[in-house]
Amino acid sequence: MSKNRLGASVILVFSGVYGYLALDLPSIPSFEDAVAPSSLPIALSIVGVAVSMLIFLIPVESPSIITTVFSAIKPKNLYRVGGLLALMVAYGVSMNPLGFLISTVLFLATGFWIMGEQEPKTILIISTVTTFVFWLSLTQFLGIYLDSGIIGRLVSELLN
Amino acid sequence: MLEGILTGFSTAFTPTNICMVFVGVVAGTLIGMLPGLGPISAIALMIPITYGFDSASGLILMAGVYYGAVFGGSTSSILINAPGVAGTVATAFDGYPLARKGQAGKALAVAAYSSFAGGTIGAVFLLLGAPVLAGVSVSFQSADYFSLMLMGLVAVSAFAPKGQFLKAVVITVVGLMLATVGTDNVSGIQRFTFGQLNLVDGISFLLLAMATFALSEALMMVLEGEDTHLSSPATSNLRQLRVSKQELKEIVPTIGRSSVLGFLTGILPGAGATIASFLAYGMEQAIDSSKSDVQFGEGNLKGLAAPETANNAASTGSFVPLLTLGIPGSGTTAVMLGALISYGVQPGPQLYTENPQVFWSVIISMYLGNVVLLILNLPLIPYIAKLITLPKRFLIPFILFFSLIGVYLVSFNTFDIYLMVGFAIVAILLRFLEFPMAPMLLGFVLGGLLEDNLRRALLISDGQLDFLWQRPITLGILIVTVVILLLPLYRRINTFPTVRED
Repeated sequence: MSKNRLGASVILVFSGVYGYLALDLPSIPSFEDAVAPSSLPIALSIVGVAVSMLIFLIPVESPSIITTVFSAIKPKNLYRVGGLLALMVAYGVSMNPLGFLISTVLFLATGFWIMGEQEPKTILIISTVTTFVFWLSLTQFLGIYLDSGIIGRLVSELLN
Repeated sequence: MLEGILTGFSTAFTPTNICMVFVGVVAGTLIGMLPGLGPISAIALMIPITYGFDSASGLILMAGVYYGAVFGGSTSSILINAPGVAGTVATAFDGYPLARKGQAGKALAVAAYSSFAGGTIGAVFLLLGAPVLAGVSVSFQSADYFSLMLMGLVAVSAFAPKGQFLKAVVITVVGLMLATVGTDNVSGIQRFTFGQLNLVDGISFLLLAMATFALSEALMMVLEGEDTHLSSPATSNLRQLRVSKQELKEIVPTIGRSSVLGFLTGILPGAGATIASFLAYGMEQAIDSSKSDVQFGEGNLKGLAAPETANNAASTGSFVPLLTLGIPGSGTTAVMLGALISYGVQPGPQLYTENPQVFWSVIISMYLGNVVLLILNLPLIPYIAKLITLPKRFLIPFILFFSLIGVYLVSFNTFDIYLMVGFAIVAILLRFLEFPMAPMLLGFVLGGLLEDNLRRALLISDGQLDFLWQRPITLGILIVTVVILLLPLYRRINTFPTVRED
């Protein structure tokens, strides 16, 4: 399948599902409105479906994804991107329980490691120092409150 | 007008705002220099910082970042032949050969002088032209705005690279679809929220801009792998910045022509710095036609000055529709519009009458920004250029961190982080399939405004579609829109310089 056709199929499905969901929205305008909440979404989905079908059907010289995309990407880089995406999700998950400081240090350190830095000392120093400087400038100079997380709160309660 | 200029001066020349210009220009240069990160990412990354400031300071900072990023892009074009910004692709044609010849310093100096001239001349045009247009646009009604927005959306697709017209159209529609997520302004009904409380307010534009630009551009850098030539920039003679009188004489007419062409191209919706730079390069090549000793593409100074002047003049020109009509003509100004709306400022004729200090201070700050670019960046280039050699293994995690935390610090909601990852995955896929991303952002930012104006126009006309042809302005704009829509067809017959717009 060519790049154009794959992209068109993705958007065709998206537009179709969007249009289907739009059918559930009220189709009668309210008193002070000339257009129903579903009108524009339905119109947009029709345009989306029509244009993506045009892209799919018009013959254009578009390279096959197998020859261009997959041969251009090295497996190592693909794993790295996968790792970084998972890391970002993990950062979101860890933010509430661990708090900003710990989760950011972990995020940066793991990020450097995924990207190929092997020296533990370098990883630790750069991630800790930059996180601390960033935290300090946010909380102390810009006055932004950052949650210390469940663990942080427990520690401060124990200390008090 | 004089009163306005004075207001602009008094706002722009406060210590805070002068500081904003400095910070913006330097940060923009640094980010723009990184190959792969364009002005949209640069501005998006800076927006969370601007939330604490008033709207004039925020816009001044973003404007500084914009032309700093364009200038930074030219540095990486010249030194490593890897344009950081699409608008500086043409700069590499003659800039890189010059650097290879051991004249990197001279090439950077010519780029800086041309940028300065293009930006300053553009700012003069903006100063004279914007108030006139703003005056006219005060009489605009919902129907006119609706047709203007339609024109902007159509134009950004029509000026898309060759063979990408339909892709740009469909991506714009996707942007419009994403804009409908959340509570409907008029009826109060929730659309496409799937019962999720996190989606009731809709998708934040900053989230979408960060995910589809900063995040996905950084991850694309990883996917595309190491660039071995990145480690060896042509930095010989970087400190020899002298340009001879004869050389200056040679490029002055080029700068004059390219400024006018660049500014006019910048005003057009959809055509930004990239198209301007290619047009100017093409024009100089046609005028020159083997008059010079050095051929175009082999280190001709005119070939370097033309795109550099034009892209800066166009960046300034693109502020005309943003400030006077409230309609962005490019992805970059769409991000700025999104930021302004979130400050509670509505650009357009109201900006000119209700917030004149914002309107004028941005224009005045452009002069200051150009001076800062010249006096600060030029001597600092040898040091700033070192950033290009910063290892990706450290750079990428930092870009990801700043993107995520920038969005998180606005909402303090981890759902936003997950949503960003989702959008980034889709954006990477679409980038690989060569679908342009900037039209989606434009569609998203204009989507809400487009629907509001359409509804208002329909309400005034009792639900009839005759509002489309009742007023001459509306009809005129719609005719232009149709002409623009037919442009790609015309281009298929006649070949036209086609480039990628950021």
